[in-house]
Amino acid sequence: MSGAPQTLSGRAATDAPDLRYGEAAGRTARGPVTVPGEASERERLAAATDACLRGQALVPPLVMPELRRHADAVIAATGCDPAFREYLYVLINNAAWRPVVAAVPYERRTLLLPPCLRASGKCPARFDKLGLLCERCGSCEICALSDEAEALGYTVLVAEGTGVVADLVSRGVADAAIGVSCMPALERAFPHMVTGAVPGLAVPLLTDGCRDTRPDTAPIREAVRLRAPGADWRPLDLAKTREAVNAWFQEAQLRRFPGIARTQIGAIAGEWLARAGKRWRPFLTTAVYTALSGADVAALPDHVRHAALAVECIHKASLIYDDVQDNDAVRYGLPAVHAAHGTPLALTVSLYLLGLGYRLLADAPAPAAMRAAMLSLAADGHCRLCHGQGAELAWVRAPGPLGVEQVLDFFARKTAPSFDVVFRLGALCAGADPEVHDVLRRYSEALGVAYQIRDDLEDFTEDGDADDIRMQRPSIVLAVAAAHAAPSERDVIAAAWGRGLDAHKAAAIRGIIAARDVERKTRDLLGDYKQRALDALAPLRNGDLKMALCRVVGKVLGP
Amino acid sequence: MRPGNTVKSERTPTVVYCDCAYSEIIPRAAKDAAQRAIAARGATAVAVPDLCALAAARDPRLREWAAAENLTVIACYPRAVRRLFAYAGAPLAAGATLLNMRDGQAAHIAARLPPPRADAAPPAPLAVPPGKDDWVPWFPVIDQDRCRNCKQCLNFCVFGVYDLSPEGLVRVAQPRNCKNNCPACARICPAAAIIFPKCPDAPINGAEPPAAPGAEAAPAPAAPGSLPADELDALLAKRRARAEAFRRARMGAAGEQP
Repeated sequence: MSGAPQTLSGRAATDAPDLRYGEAAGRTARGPVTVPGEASERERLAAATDACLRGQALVPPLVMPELRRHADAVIAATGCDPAFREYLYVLINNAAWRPVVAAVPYERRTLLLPPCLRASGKCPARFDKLGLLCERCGSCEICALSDEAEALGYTVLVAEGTGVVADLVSRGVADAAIGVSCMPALERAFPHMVTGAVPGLAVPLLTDGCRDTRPDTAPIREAVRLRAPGADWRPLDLAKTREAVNAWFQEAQLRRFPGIARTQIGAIAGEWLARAGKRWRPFLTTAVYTALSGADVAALPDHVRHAALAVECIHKASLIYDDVQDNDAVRYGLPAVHAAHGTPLALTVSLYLLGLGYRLLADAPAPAAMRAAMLSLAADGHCRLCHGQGAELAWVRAPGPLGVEQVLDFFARKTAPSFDVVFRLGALCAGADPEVHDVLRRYSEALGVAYQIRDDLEDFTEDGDADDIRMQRPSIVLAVAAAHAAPSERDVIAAAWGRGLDAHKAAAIRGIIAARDVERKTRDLLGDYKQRALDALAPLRNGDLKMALCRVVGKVLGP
Repeated sequence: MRPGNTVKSERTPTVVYCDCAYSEIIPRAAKDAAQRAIAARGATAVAVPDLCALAAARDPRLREWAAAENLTVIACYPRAVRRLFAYAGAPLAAGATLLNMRDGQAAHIAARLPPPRADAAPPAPLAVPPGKDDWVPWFPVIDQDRCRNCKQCLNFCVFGVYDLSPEGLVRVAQPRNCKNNCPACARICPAAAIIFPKCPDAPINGAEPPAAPGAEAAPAPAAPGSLPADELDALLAKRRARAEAFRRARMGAAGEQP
């Protein structure tokens, strides 16, 4: 991994990480993404794509390595002009989602049409907050397409952007979408459709240019009508999973544990466990289990509850330590444990929670081999985290300049193990294959690193103080700055590592960061690791798990 | 005459005329009327093919013109013109006269032009220089009086037009990345703060938005995730009701109405 991040798109700087159909190599040489002009050529490519994919078990959402591999095969088989590679990605992606979309009843689908289809100068429509309200004047194709889709039961939106569809899907208003858009907008939407795991079929516009555009009507109609009779696909209900997990952490539930009910330490620990928090970890453990097992969320088995409680116990034990170490007196808007009960008691509660976590795993009502594997996984993650944290503390005692790779290594060692434990405990509960564990290992590492990069970026962009670059710990922003700095600037940065800075020096470093476009470069690096996390999911055969983990990327790292 | 050359080159012009050469939003008749008015007054005028192009390039002449006393700019909506000059680092004085050729009032431009100076050139036709290049100057400018820095445009734009300033404020960083005729970011702006001077639709074209700064403008679709569930439900219900009404109307037209 060099300091210069890979980008997937050849386009100029954008703020959002690039995870598009378009790839850096050859984009400029190939020109803009295009759609074959002749209907016969589009039909030929669609048929050839279907032929190439026949017999392949495509598990949507497809991630870039899968799209690339299949597109290579189609290009090799058809001699298709590589200029249409992105168009093939659309066809391949549609092929992957088609069985899912076909199984969603029309009433739970949305048709998204772009407002640029309207006849400029003639269209009498007005916009509301969801987009254009077609008056059925008949001057463009929106009219007929809306009529047809609405007659079937669709919700039709004529709106800018695809965000609204991802929003409807994430809110459970729609379960699938047919989207019509220009290739550049589809490119842009693709990462959101992956991280939103939106079941959808896309039909590119024949022209772009954002005015008086032309739709490819036949495939739109085909996609709109597509239906597997009787089928009724429902997405994994993550909201229900979250409710189930939250219920486990109500204090009355926690008091069922004898230790929590009986002693002062137990009572503090119980209150601390019940206290608000995002409960991401137990939720993710449980979500991985439900996706893999297909279990009913209303009746989750006890060994899953044990695993979920255990990860939260161990996490909340570490938070007590963090608050003591950082002298943070407030947590979740209330006094931190050491602030309320004093440090000695707080540390004892923390140790108790570690013990309780391991005890929950050891007592899980599961086969002995599964219990042993869960204990081993948690203990291994615990040890690796401590080694990672120890390495960072050693650096803090004797700080020196760090390269991008070294900082990323710190990140991988101190954050990735906790993600790894959280996801793989769920997989162990479901008795998943070793292949699933391999995927989750790679996914956790990339996600953990990306999470830390994002944390550093947020610290950098959200605080306005002079000392906000967090020199006291390995900072990826500083490492990227050093990698792109001029030799004279490098000395200024080298002297800053691990030290508090006066206002003058902090300003100098901020100047270098601005001049070298360091924030964008760091964002590119974040995009790269986000991409790696998604790419790691390619081998998964379980669609529910793949969808859930794609959404986790979006939730944890932002869309 | 070379593009953008002044009629009296040694003088700072008192009138700047934009020919909006890339677009047909300004009727030919309005342009002709404005040009005749300038010629008849003998004003020290400069004609440019496209003010947006100059603003995108941050042409230093804009700063020179902005500094002129009693400047008159004949172009499009005043809000758009002010923001174009501001974008170029050449904010216009509050007293600058901004005449709009898009509002059907072109015939009155003559009356609002400054009186000729004593040393004015004799009345002569205004030479509008050719000066188009391959890039159509279509890009947004931000109305800083309305912008709330919510960053929705930044997150929405496909083409990397926006970025954040070192102070964390959204700005138009790459106008040439913008996609010709695409006003999508302006449509999603909840504050109606984004202006595309060449856009056919108000208030995106710079026409005054209906409400005061900070209030919701009429056509400001919500960004994903920002609508409360009940409002979203209401908007979806409205669409279903309309679909049903259209369906009935179609059936009625086909003679199937009971």
